[in-house]
Amino acid sequence: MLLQMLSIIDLHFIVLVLAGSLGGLLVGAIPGLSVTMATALLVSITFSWSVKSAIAVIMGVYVSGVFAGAVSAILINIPGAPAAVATTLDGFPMAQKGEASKALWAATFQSFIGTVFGLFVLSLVAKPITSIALAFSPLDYFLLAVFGLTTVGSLTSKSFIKGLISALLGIMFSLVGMDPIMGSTRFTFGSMNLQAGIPLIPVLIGLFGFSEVLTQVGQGTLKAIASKAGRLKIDIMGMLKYLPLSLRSAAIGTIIGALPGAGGPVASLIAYDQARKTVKNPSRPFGEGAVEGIVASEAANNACVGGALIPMLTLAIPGDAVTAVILAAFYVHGLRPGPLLFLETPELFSIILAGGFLGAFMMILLGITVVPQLAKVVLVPKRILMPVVTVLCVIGAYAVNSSLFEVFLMIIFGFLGFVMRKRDYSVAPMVLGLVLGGIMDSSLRRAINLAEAGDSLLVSLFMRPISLILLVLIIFSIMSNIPACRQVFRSIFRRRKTDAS
Amino acid sequence: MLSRWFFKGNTDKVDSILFLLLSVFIFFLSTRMDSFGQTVLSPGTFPAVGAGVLFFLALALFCKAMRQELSSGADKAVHETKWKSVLVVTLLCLVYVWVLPLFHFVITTMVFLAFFLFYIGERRIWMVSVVSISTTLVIYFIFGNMLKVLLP
Repeated sequence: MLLQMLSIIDLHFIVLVLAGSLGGLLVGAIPGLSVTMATALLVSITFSWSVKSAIAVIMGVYVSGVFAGAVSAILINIPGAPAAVATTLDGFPMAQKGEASKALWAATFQSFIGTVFGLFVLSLVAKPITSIALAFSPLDYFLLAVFGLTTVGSLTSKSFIKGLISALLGIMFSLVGMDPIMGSTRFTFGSMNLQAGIPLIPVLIGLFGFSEVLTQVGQGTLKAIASKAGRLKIDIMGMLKYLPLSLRSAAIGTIIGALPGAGGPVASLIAYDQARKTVKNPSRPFGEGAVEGIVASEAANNACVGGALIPMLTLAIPGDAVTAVILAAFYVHGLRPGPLLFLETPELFSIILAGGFLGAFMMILLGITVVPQLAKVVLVPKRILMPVVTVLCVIGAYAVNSSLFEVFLMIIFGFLGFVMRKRDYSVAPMVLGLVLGGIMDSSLRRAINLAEAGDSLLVSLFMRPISLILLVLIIFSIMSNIPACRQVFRSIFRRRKTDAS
Repeated sequence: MLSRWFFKGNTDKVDSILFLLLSVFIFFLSTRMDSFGQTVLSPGTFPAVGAGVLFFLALALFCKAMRQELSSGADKAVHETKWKSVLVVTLLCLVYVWVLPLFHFVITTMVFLAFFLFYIGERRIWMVSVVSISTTLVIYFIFGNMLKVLLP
């Protein structure tokens, strides 16, 4: 496999991956532009190219684009993509403390670790992971979504109840539009524009981007975000000390990435939650600029790249929106991903891996050269930065579907996000609810439908290992958010340690 | 004045009452949805359950707010926010978006940026001009030309 990959890499291939990586960095860092959009554009641009050249550019864009969402998340508290929401929690506080360069380096290196891990797993265990992913029933998807929601406790530094309310409001917003099962409309109040539902990207831009603008304007202190960006220190040993956390988070990202429809936002938030619960002595408290928060989030969301490619290549089932577009690119070039891929076009697998690994190295290169220059954004006075960010928010919301209605939604959610922040409600749980709400609704109803046709729901719940494991994880996750339960666990653990010694 | 009235006393009590009313409203709308002869599979079931959960969370928030008020006995600190600025900026953005399809993106955005920069405190005319013009042109080039986004 390694020899095959090395034989594919030549100067032309390297240049194309680099060009794709640069494009991915630009697209991923600007809120409102998505890697999906860029990949869709590339399908048409690379139509007449060879398969190898097309995949080189697409993989470059994919790998760098997923990482680049962290750049704006760290510098201006606006995640470039939903998967970077968890990165804002500690990335922006680090930037405010004058450590923007350090945060960006952490994001770059951990994204590299995550990408390499995900692609490594793809090369070794694609088939077994695919069979596990296929075994997920609608009930398991529902339980996974509930498990994702229990991470709300990690997203709220202040009140768990307020975090749950925020998440629940996000779930309610996700139900606006057409019911996916019966096809009737819900909560549209007769509006044609709302029939397609409330789109995620404009809401994300509003809740994080425009609300940040309003918060800064409301505070009236419009100096720079920080007085210094910090010097870039390429501290590989410093980053390697987080390797156990990186690998755990990357494993979470790979597994969740392999589940069709789950994706980067869920993976990065679950990884952030597990980091918060398992890291005993973080560099700072989580939510106040802990490097460990960036490590977990970025390793997980970039590991999703490899994870999402697993079902796409082995079963022709896309793991996320980007792999759905990549699948279309393959069909355009006359290829057939699926069970026969390894028999009919084995070199395709090597090309994808080569493009992915090379893209990861390009990401490090760009992280050392281009990205630190972007860190100087924190030195720009806010009275100049905020109007520019506002225009980017407007255009970002518009660019998704060329719809001014979505721009209005962005402004409304921006104002809502501003009011929420003033009243100590975190906005990240609302995004989580918006992502998971639709999955929860349709999965639960499909599960009940299946249970009515066959065994009872209770039998399905307690007779399936995957469902049982998820249920146990949910119970532990909920209990870890309750202070009284945490005290009990700690005292049991301390007693056992004393008995053992 | 507006912020003092809005944030007077324990804001969590106000929030919990609003959420209680919202949950009742959502529940009412959910029960009015066509159920297609289903109960659990009805489109209104999940929203109704969500409304129920919201109701209990709002009650929990209310109880927490009352406990806090009884224990601390003092009003929460009033948030010092320049509400007038926030509302003006929001209105400016709404007007900008409304005017966008009437005039070209380039002209509208330049004017919007100039107004915003001036309002927010940037008084150097040369800086206002440079930022308005360069930002608009760069965005136009990247989005309109490179990425082929159809700008208004």
